[in-house]
Amino acid sequence: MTNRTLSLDVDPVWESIDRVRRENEVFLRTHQIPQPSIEALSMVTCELMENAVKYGFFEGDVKTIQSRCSVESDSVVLEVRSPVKPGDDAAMARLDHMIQWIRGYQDPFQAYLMRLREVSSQAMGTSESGLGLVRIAYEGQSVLDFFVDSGSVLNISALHAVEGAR
Amino acid sequence: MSISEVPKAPLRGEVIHEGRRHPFEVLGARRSALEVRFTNGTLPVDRMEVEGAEVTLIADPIAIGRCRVEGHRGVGDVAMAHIIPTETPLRCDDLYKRRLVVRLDQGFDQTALLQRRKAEIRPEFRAYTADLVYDLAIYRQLFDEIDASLANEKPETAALVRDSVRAKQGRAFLRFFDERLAQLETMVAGFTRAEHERHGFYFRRNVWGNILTSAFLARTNIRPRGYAGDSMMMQQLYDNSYQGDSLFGQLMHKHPIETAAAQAVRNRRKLLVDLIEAAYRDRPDPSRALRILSVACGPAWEVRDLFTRAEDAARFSCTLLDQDEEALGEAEHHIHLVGTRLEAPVQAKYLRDSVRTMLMSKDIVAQFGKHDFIYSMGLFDYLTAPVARSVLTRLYELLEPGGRMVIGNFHVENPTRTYMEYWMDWVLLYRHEDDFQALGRELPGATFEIYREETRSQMFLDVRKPRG
Repeated sequence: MTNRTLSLDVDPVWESIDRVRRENEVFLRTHQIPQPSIEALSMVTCELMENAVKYGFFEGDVKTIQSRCSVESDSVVLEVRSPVKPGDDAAMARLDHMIQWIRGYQDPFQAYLMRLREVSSQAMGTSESGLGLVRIAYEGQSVLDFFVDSGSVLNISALHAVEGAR
Repeated sequence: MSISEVPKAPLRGEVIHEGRRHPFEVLGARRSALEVRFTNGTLPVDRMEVEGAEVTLIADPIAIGRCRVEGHRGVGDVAMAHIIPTETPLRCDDLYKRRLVVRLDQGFDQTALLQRRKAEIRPEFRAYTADLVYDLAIYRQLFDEIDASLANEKPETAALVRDSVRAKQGRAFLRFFDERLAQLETMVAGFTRAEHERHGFYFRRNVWGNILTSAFLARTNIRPRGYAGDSMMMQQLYDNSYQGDSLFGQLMHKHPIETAAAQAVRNRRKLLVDLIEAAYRDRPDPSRALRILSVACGPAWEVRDLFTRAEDAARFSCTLLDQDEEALGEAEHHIHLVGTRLEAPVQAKYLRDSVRTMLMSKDIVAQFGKHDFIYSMGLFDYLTAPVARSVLTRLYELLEPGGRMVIGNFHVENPTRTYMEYWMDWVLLYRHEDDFQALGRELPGATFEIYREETRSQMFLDVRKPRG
């Protein structure tokens, strides 16, 4: 029986993003996931990995990013685990708020429109647009979620329903 | 959406008027005006538009154009004013709180994008929506005519007439609504997820005026606290009454709270009290109060129901956890009132935390304590499997040996699902029995039972931890 989960452990460098994307694509193809879903999930992989490389805190015990791609009966779940700065509760609260806000809409297009308005506004001293997360929901057709474990590792996941499943 | 971020450094600026610079500090903001204090003690102008002037935000200079300055004297003769951007109206509260310069008319930039979207809507769905909007308009006008005819009537007389109209024509309208809803369910039954999303968006744009007449539908769509299912919505569900200023609005409010899913919420409240009572009878340590933990507790009405006699105060000890401060505050207030009424203070602890971040606690037991009965309703419907598994595992750690944990999740067969998604913009993660039980697969020694309440919309995972 084919293994339905692909786990990768990579260094927090830009090159890893493409490596994980490519390996996930091959894995998904092996499991006959439809091409539109593979394309959507590639984008999701890149966004999640980019966030992990950009915002991960690799000065503690955990020095790598873990990626996991699981094929379920009617969906694919992508998980990316990266350490966060211990005690950075404000950043986690912002992430929590943002994900709940995105998921508050039946159609992520609505969140996308709202976020576009804000990104096109002139921000003063802000670096996180949150647009990447909205793209995961809208273009990547995926439900985002996350938790932080007791080792201060952020596990962010995207659940992508394979076409036909609601 | 509003992300409340407290400004880190004071926001300052300058009004330039007739070649002179007048520095100010921003003290606060309304939606369209900044509340400022002029730091040189003088107002540049008062109650007039500053032609050609500009306001510059010093930290990251951004011209916000011509403004009107409306001055008033603060305490100690301080030069205070409201600055209202008039050349380009801005969302001043966002400018102050989030340091974002957002034009009030920014949405107009997306008009073409929005209009293009209707090309992706199936013709039969467009026809259905157009017919529905027309038919709703007919009903609305008829009910509005009755409201208008009662405008000068004695309140008691008007109330009697409204009762009668609601009982006859109102019920007929609710049946009409049921039929149209059934048509909607049939029409979208084969849609993909992306099609549901697109059509739901299109649908709500069309029926938006009707949504706003209903206190319940308006709240599920607007989500003033940032999430659906807040304590006000729970109260509306529990009240299950006609609310609103107009007959049409009252009916549009009543219809969604008569659904199976709404009834399931009312059923689970009662069921929880029964389960807690059963857990009390079967408690592992009869020498002390049963320790209860409610996760994502909301207003915790079921806890209020639990305390009916003075001796109940000694039987139960509650810990209530929620991320919403307002909901926790309400729970605390009402539980305090229960204690006052019974003349026996209820043992209750209130913790504000998000389940997604509470898991990072290194010693979760020290932080949240051990409990005999843990329950969570209206939370797992929002957690994807990796998060749900993790939350369940940590909650299990908080369970005493011999303890019991009951988790709620709406079942995939929820008959109100289409209604919730299309009319209420309320999307849940539905589960089958197998998916639900699989979440607890790795809980050491746990035994499971899965059951549903009367409407079969809401499913419960009942987990027991072995004694000793």
